[in-house]
Amino acid sequence: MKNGVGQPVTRKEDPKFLMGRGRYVDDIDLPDLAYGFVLRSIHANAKIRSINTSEAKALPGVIGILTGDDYVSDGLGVIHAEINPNLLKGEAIQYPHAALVREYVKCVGAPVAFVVAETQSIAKDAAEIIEIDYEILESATDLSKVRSGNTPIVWEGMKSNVSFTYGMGDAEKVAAAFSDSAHIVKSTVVNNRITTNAMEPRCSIGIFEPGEEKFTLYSSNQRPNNARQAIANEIFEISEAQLRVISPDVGGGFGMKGSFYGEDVLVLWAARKYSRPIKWNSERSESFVTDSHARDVISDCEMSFDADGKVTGLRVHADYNIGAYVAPGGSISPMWFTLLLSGVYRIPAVEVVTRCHFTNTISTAPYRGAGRPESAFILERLMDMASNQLNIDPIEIRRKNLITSDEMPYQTALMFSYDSGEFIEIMDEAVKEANWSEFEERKKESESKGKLRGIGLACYLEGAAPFNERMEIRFDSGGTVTVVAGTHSHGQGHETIYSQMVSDFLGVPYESVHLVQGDTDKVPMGRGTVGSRSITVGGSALRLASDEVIEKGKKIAGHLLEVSPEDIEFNNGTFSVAGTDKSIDITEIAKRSHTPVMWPGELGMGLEGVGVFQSGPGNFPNGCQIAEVEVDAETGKVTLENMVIVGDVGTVINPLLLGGQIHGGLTQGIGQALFEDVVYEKNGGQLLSASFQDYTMPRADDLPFYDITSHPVPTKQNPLGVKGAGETGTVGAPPAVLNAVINALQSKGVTDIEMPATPEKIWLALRKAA
Amino acid sequence: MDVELIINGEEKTASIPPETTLLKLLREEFYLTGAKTGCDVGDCGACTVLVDGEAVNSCLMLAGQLQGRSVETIEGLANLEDFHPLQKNFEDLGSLQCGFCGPGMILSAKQLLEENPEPTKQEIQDAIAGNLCRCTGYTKIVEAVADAAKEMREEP
Amino acid sequence: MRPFEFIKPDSEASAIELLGKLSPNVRILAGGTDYLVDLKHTADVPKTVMDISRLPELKGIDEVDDGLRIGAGVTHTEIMQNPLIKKYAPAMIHAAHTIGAVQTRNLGTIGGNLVTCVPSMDSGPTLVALDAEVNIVGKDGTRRISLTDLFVGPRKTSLKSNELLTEIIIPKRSLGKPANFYKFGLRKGQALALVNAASSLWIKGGCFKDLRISIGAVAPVVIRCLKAEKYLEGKKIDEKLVKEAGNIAVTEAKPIDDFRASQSYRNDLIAVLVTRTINAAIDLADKD
Repeated sequence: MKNGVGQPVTRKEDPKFLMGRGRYVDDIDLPDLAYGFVLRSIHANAKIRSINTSEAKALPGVIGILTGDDYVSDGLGVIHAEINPNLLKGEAIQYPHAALVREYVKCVGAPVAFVVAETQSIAKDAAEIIEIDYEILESATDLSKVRSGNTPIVWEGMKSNVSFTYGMGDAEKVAAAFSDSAHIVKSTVVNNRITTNAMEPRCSIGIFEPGEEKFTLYSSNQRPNNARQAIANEIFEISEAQLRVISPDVGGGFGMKGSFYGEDVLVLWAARKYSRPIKWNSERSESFVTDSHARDVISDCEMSFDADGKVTGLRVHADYNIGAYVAPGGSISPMWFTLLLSGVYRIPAVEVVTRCHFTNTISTAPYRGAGRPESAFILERLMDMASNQLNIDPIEIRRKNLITSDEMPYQTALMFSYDSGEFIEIMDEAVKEANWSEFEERKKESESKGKLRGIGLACYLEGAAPFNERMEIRFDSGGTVTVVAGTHSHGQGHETIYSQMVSDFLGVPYESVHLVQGDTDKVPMGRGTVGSRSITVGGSALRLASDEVIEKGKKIAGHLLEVSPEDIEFNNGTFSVAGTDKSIDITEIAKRSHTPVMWPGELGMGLEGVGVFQSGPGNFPNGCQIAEVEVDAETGKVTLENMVIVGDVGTVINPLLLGGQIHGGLTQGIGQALFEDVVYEKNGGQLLSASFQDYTMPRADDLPFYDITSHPVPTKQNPLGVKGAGETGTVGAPPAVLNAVINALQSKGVTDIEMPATPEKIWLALRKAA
Repeated sequence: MDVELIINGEEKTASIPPETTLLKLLREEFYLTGAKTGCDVGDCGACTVLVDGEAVNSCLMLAGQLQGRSVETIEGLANLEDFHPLQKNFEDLGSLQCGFCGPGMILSAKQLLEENPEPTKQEIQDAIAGNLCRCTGYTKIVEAVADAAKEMREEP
Repeated sequence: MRPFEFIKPDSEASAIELLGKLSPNVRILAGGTDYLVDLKHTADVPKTVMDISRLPELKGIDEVDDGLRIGAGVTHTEIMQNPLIKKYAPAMIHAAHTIGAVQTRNLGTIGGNLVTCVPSMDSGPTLVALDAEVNIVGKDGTRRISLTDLFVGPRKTSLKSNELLTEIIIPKRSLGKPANFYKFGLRKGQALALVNAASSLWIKGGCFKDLRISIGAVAPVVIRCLKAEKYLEGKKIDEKLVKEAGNIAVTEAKPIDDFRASQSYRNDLIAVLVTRTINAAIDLADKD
């Protein structure tokens, strides 16, 4: 079938983007639009003694200035997070935050006042003359100090900076395994802080219709229904019907736009207050300071081995930096991290304790991978360290410990049970693809040019597809199809994928399928797009919705063909009476289903189906990545020479789009491994890496072409066999690249290096080792 | 101040304050929103347009500098019926994802192909090094530019 | 951006006149790749911004009696594509290529890069290594100074507020002189130099002659490494000596220590880059 499942179909979304007709929030202009600017804290920790806005308010063109006091007096609610009770050890302490702070600022960038004016530049000018009297307090930004208890307490009255602790596994079993072991590999593994930098900065427009008492929010957001639910119920205490959230084209999200932000509240609040539509558009420097950051976890790790090189136990005591407040999604990365620390390995005993600390930094929250890269990084670094210490080849030590395909389903010592996977076969395929056996020759060639060369691998797994999802298929009276999706595409190409699926499931032309998403007045329920879930959970729900359409269609066909529905068969778009040549096309059924009179009541009106899929334990995409690098030992500069990935994302719906997901994920992982680092000033708490000059995301000329192979092992967890595809690149790349870099430096005595492996860190490591 | 310039082949006039950038002029006066505000300091390339055929960051030019000059934006490159080979090959390879960097990326590539019909992979990477993309990892973009170049050589 | 007036003179003469009349409440806009970013973030907006980016007198690269004249308004892209530069000073092409990315190079001018005078400027070291001079025009006429005398401090030059830098001259003696530029940044495109360096030299009878070494991003301005030059001048080509010159160059720099790079790392990079540029220039030189 043309444009069916499994084919490299080009994207339906592309024509508008290629012509510059994408419509992102900042592209929306409205009559009478006013502009908001957020005045932010320049201190990491301070007491606000006073705020004086009178001079700023008098500036021509200023419509109004809102502060934290106004927020309280207008009775607006606070933003908080869900902490997973099943993993929680002890008490969880949150400091739910308002969209404007008062009394205290707890991080640089904390929102202190919202200035609304006729133009953005007037709003900025006014913000500059607001006088704030701060009493500066000592701050805590550096996780390595915070975890040692060696810093000020962020929130007055707390005994420590620990907000909550997640834990899993069996400490006694691990202790027993350690006492019986032949060897224990110990390491403190640092996963540095990074930031998303979606190319579209966050942007929001708030509208209020006084007569209807209805708000509309345009927001660059991945989960509009979730934003509506939280903002309506928790912030404004209005019915959800009084808030419409629209997420139009979104210029990249990667989890960072997975929850709403305070600015969404501010534009709505100000729109109601001043009876004007209000736009707030983040400047890039503001994105650096206020978009949620990610990773930032330091873990004390111990892995025990028997004399044969088999893992017998793992203990991970980790400390996460969650920032000044627990962001709405702030507990998600620590959760995935905790749950996935068995990875692809057969580890009989595991114990994980994950403490989450307040610091005077912006909150951390999911960013592509969300906890999965952190756990994979630990396991793969430990494997390489063990390979080194036990003198077992890195491939062989993994082979001894990888869960084999005939052990599936495999129950880990933590929570998850994996249904499928061919980890060893995939590793072998990657090793072959990377031409590992001839590495020594390439290394000699590099050495002849005075360069070091290294190769490294990472075998990894991640958990995908959280939550249930609802999808709806509607035929209009002309016979074309609308998919109403609870998911939200912001670059993934859902309209293409869903059209392929519906075309396959219902035998309708690919071109006749349209997607409605991202508008809570059109999509009644939905969880949006995060956690590599849309094609697995949304796609499976779409399968169920199609089944419902077929069932209804059979009833209508039975009526029209004057037989019992049980005698109707459906095949590739045609309903036919079994054993006869009587048939009717689904498009015709759809048209007839809209018959206004003389139509049996029990056949309803129109042709439609709703599917809800419960993803259960989700699925476990996995793969093996191999990186090869060349290092200039004099300057420390790394060149990534080759990057191989063999991945299992289950059944492939569209290889063209899958390739894009893998490429992007790899690049973000490589970015962390070699280039990207969020740096706060050690004492004052200022963000230093606050521009694209200093936060050096990879550019086109920094990267090789990738070598990608698909090794699908369909999952049994959903009717499509599909596993999540969005995050796997990001999970495997950091350890693969780091292992390659360290492999290159090994002959010089370097055994570890922290991410990002910048030239200076490599230079320093080589100097120390010499 | 008044500025007269040519945008996508048409003569245009605008009355704007002198501190208006070309990017603001395009987006706010002419509603040509294909050029995006990604950083507003010339680091990301999302606002790239062609001025007299050369790729520039439109956030770093004042509208007044455009007096009498010719600007080409993504909106002027083609229409649905008649895609430019770059647009066609971007589509064929699925080179874009969220689409935000796309207009700038395509215009940077257009300057390259007009000056260098047979660019190497490295030359393509260099030509788009001023355009950040967070979604794609650049591979498919570089491939699409190479394919477009080939197509343009074969069917000038 | 805060409001200002925008003027666009149509000749160098009228620009100089306006500059004299309006200074010090006027700022010059050339390529704008640096200045426009400043304008967006400063409260200190001048009354008038004067656009000189299209002045015909500031354009062009020509062979003149005393060397090669490069108009201050020549863009980095124009430098990269110019046949005279390719013939006489190809290291400049490499240096221009490392500036920003295509978009920056299409707008940014060589004069603007020098006058902005950030320590990490990528045009500086090669020009210094080629003994470049600059012509500065004010209402009292033209003066010519050595490029090194233009640089005073970070973002500070010896230009008076009513003067315009109009031309860069590479003296005849430097045309075709073997030279090499090396930039070390944290990535390729759109990168700031942690250290950059350029060296030029002749080889006479197997010995260094007229060696010039210049480094950037490691002192308040781009500097010449006079001690390192002196150490090698007249000596026989020898890898060990070159390496030692790199070490001497380190003593002439005062790199900062910040989150981008530590002082000791920058120092080490100076030695490596100086060594590499000298060796590359040796490779280019006729060895009679």
